[in-house]
Amino acid sequence: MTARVPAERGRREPAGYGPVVPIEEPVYDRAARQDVQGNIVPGFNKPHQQFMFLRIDDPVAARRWVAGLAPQVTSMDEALGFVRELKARRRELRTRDAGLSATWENVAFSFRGIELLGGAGAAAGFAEESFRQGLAARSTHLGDPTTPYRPGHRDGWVVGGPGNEADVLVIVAADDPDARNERAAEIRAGAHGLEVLYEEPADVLPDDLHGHEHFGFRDGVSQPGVRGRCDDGSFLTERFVDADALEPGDVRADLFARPGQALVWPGQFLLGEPRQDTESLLAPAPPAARPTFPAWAARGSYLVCRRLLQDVPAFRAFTEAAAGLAETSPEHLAALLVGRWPSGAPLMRAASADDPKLADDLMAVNHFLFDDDTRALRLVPGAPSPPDRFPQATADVLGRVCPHFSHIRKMNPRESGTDLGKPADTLLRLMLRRGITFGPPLAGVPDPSPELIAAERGLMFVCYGATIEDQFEFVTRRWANSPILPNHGGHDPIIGQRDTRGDRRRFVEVPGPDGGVRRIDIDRDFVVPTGGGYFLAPPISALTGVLGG
Amino acid sequence: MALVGTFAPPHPGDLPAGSPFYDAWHDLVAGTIDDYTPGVVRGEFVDPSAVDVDVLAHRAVPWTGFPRYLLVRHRDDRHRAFCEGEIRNVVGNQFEYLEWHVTRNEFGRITKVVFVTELLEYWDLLARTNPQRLVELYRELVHPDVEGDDLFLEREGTRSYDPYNRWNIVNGIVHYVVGINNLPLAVGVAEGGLAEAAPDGFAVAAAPDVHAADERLRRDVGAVARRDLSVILREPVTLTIGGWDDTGWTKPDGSPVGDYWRVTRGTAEAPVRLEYEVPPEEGFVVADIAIGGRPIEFGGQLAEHVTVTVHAAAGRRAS
Repeated sequence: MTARVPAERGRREPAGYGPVVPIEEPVYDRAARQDVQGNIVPGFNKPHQQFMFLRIDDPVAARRWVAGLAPQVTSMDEALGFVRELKARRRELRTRDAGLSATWENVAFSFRGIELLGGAGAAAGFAEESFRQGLAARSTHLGDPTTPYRPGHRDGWVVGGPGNEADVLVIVAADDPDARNERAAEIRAGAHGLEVLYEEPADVLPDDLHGHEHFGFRDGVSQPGVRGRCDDGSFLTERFVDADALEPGDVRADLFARPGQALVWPGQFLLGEPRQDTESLLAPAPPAARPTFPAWAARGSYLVCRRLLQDVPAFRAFTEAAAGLAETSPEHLAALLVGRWPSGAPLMRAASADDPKLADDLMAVNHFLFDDDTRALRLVPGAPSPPDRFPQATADVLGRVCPHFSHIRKMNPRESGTDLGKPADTLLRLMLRRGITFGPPLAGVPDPSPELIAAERGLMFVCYGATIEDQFEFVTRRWANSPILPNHGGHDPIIGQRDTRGDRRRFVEVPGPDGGVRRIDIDRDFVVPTGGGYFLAPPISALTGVLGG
Repeated sequence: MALVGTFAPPHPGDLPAGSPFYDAWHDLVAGTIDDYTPGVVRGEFVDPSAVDVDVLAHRAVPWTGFPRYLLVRHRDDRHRAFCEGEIRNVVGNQFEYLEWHVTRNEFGRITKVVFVTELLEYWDLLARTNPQRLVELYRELVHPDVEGDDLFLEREGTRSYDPYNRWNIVNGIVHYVVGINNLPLAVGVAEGGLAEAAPDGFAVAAAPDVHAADERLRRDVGAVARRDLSVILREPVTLTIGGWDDTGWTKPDGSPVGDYWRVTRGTAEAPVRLEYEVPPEEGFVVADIAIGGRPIEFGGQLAEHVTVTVHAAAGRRAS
């Protein structure tokens, strides 16, 4: 007999995608755009940045400094305007080098920093417990080493460990490194009442490695799109999917900004804005039942910063040593670990070899599903790419092409079911990533000196979200660090960490040519945390209000 | 030849080999699964004891043990979600096929948490087959003071097992009591994945109820069926505890906790009962442990790190 499923289990709606309702996305007028810091939306995306970690020694003087900083803090309005002008100039001049440059800065505060600047009352309303605790207190929960003196243990961090936690993080970003350095020097000189704990200059990698991280893979390919418009009618995230070309009932133009780029309600990133519904891919959530942050922090965003060292020789040595076990080439094994080839071309669309042309097509590089065949999408007239001419991705439900342990499949399972159920839940986990590399590259250097090999290099990981626990911490602990979630197959070999009573071994189950899998143990950390912090990037209005003056 | 001759029980050896219990258990499981349920477009769900399938791949289907229903209902108040997660009765709240019982000391502090994925159907069958053995198992698992009269009800001259007895709710835990945690419903939800004609997982209709288990089962079965494959449940056909993660949990001195987990029912590969208790020689109790710097106040804080799993496989009908 077939079990009869009562109403409590198995109910579902008659149509896919969740409730189809008119989508009224929020509109941001100029005042609103000028209140949101620009590295949140649309993101700085500048090639030269400086991360300045400061501690407040004199709160009264520091409040004056914060207020003085306010006019320099770059807003969403300024950054969006710059990006639009840059794109227009590029189209007009038909070159990427449009001759535009800018120097920008944003600022964020730890919970303690807010207490010092605004008083206990200003900080009292934050319900985000992880923010209140801080990164150091949550470190081992994220899989960081539990053994003191081991690389990566919080006691050894350059900043953010016990006793050297920053109250303020300033990010300076520029198209020109000298302009970046000049502005950072000005901030340093003017920081009365504050002590600079640590600074990290961060620069994108040069030449062909531009946009790649130190292991040699293009980074930041997949970002969520942010729903919402400006009051001139333009979208915060530009839309490219042609709704008129879709069959009735196919709402993918409402689901994606560009093919593969899922749209998410802005409240997932900006406090107080409409959030993503927990059950629907398209709908906003009802307003929160109770305030989870003080009113002054509306349109702010939590910022997670992690200084991650990358051990490039260890990564290479592993892929070369393990390729034999995996019965494939080191290059293919490395691509399996990441889920993409170095160019950024996804395994789901380029299973056997890298395809730089696919990677260069921004309308194709991210257009794929994992469990099902991917259907083509037509682009709106005037889209910056020709029609997607690459073979569409085919279903990989068993994880043989892009394994379940692959970094990109761990971090964003897309349309797949997960340990928390439906893909609408996955949209709640996405973050706006704004990281940038630091240190000299080793990738592409034919005969590196011992000094170059030994130099520190890595990623200044930065992400923004409206929670820390349900976004950054969730995907880190629950998915990257687990060998069984969201699917069995091993740990995320890139950023996953595991510390089981001091045992840091991880593993991946690599699909073999015979249909089986080869379990490969990973006995070293390729990525080691060495600092960071949990911060709030407040609305700019707070800099001359609650936090400064 | 079918992959399964007789469905194995979730826990081996509760009764001696040859007991009629085992045939009855097989009949119960086989009666829960149709020989085959075709998908509306492709694929099928089949009874591995009735239909021969060449297995292409095994697939464990995991989900989180703490109720998603509570996490989304109290999206901004995790403390309240954990509070309500402690409620366990026939209508709620431990909906994800993981139920737990918390033991507290005289100060109200947690000393032990027991998790189960044991089926009421199994224990009811055991009670009907060998009532004395049922009492013995309750005594072993919960408390030596358990008496037969505690576990059975007399109604109109008929004595029947009371699954909602105090040793399974108030004073301990042996098996599921939440009404929607049962094998027929789990199988029914999984078979429901075959009813989808959607082209991909984004287009699959979202269920308005919020249980992670249901969506997970339905979507995973549907995704495999859309590849024109047959889906079977692997032995033992039941809900199992798939994993637990205490990494980063700390003792009162800040050092990592020891391994305080004990699998007490099921098998090492497919546990159905898991107990968490600090050994006395450690000098502290569960409530003294911190998870991510936060002290343990509720069993749900542990349940959030426990995974429930159904073991399945995908294949093609043998020719």
